[in-house]
Amino acid sequence: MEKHQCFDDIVFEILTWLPAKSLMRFNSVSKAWNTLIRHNLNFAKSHIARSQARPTGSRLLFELDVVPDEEEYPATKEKNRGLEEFPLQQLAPHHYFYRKEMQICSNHCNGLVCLYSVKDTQVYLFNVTTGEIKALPFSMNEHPFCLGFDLVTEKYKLLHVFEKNNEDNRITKMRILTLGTKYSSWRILSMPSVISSSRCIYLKGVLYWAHFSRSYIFYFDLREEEFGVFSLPQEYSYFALLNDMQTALRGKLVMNCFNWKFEDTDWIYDELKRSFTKLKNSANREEEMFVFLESEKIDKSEKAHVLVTTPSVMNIVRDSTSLV
Amino acid sequence: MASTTETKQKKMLILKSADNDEFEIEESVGVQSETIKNLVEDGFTFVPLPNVYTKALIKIIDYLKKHANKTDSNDEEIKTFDKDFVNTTFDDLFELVSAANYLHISCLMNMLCQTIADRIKDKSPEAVRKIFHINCDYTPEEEAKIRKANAQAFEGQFDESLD
Repeated sequence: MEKHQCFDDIVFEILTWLPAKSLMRFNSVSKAWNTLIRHNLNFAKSHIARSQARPTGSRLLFELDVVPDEEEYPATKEKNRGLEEFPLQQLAPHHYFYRKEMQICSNHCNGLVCLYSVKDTQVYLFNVTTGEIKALPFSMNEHPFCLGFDLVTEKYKLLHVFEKNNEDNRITKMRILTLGTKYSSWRILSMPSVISSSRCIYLKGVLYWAHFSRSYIFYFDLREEEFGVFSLPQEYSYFALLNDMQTALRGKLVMNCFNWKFEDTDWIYDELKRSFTKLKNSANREEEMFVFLESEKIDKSEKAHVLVTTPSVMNIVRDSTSLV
Repeated sequence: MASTTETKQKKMLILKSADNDEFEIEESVGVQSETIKNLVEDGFTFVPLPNVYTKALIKIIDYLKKHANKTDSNDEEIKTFDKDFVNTTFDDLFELVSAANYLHISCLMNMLCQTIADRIKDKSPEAVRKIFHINCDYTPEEEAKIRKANAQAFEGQFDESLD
């Protein structure tokens, strides 16, 4: 039909509004749709931008490693099927792993997370929304990673804290690897001594760490590849805990700050104004989780080991991990 | 015929549809469309729209009129209007989305795309093909393979209906 001549553009627009899971299914509609969904990088970018702007579409709650009983989840018997093959493989049919065999070993970033296979020390990149998994071209000891995204070059970067034997001393070092580039290799970073491999949060091109008894938040700018610090709010400057759930919910860094008497309040950090505002009526955790679960209608388990993530489209995963 | 005192005060435009019907609208209503706005800025008052058919154009003019008079007080009324506006068949929605795309009316474009996406998100690929009038160009083997690769997205029941 002649009136549908620009229909490709319209299909592009319509599909950017769909959840990633629907897109995975609609790969099979036609070759043209498959090409658009899986191989068009502009489409992936538009989709991510759209997903993050939608209040209900922007977050997913997943449990990853709660598998109490093998009988209950026969699907997990296939658990190794998807892992051996390179490149991308779907894990069928649920996102369940045995904690003894597979562990989350990084923060989440754009819906991706690193997994660590206990058996063979292989590290994988896992798209929580779609279930795609890809082996990274190295194996590693048990130390966790920090996963971040450089908003300018649109590359994923991995930070790794490791210990090195130096004569009699063990020294802690940090290194960085850019994913999805042909000749990338680990580069040693000079890091503030207090940053450990402990939990970090990724938000808008920056990784954040909080440490016990430090009145600072440490951050790492993934574009500049430089560390920095900022102080906690004056009255609550003993130390802070970063709040993963609230941060994902609000798209702003949210932290629970303590004073010397161990009284605490929640604060939102504005990275542009570099200022804190007190978070009013912090919702209780259970309520938040309920909101998440309602909005995405996914399986819930009683004791959810939660991971908040944003849906990302699979070709971002593929392109940014096409390591040679 | 419509040359009342009111039309003399307000600048008017004439839109001509693909099936040669002409519609007179206020310029302030029309310029919500980027395409029309550009033409108006170049001095046009007669705007031929060879890609927009009368049926869609009538609805779109309705939409533009409603949204041109947007105030805080009629927010609810506009919401109801919008809801009603998108409550139609897929073919009508495609007709409207093509027109909105051609006319560059971004708020309408977003509303229509979001509506279509919401209505297809739980459907089966077969239903989506029929709705979009797409012929499957996969061989059965290819299709089976691609489905297998996306097995996780095929869990559960899907909506096979075409509305």
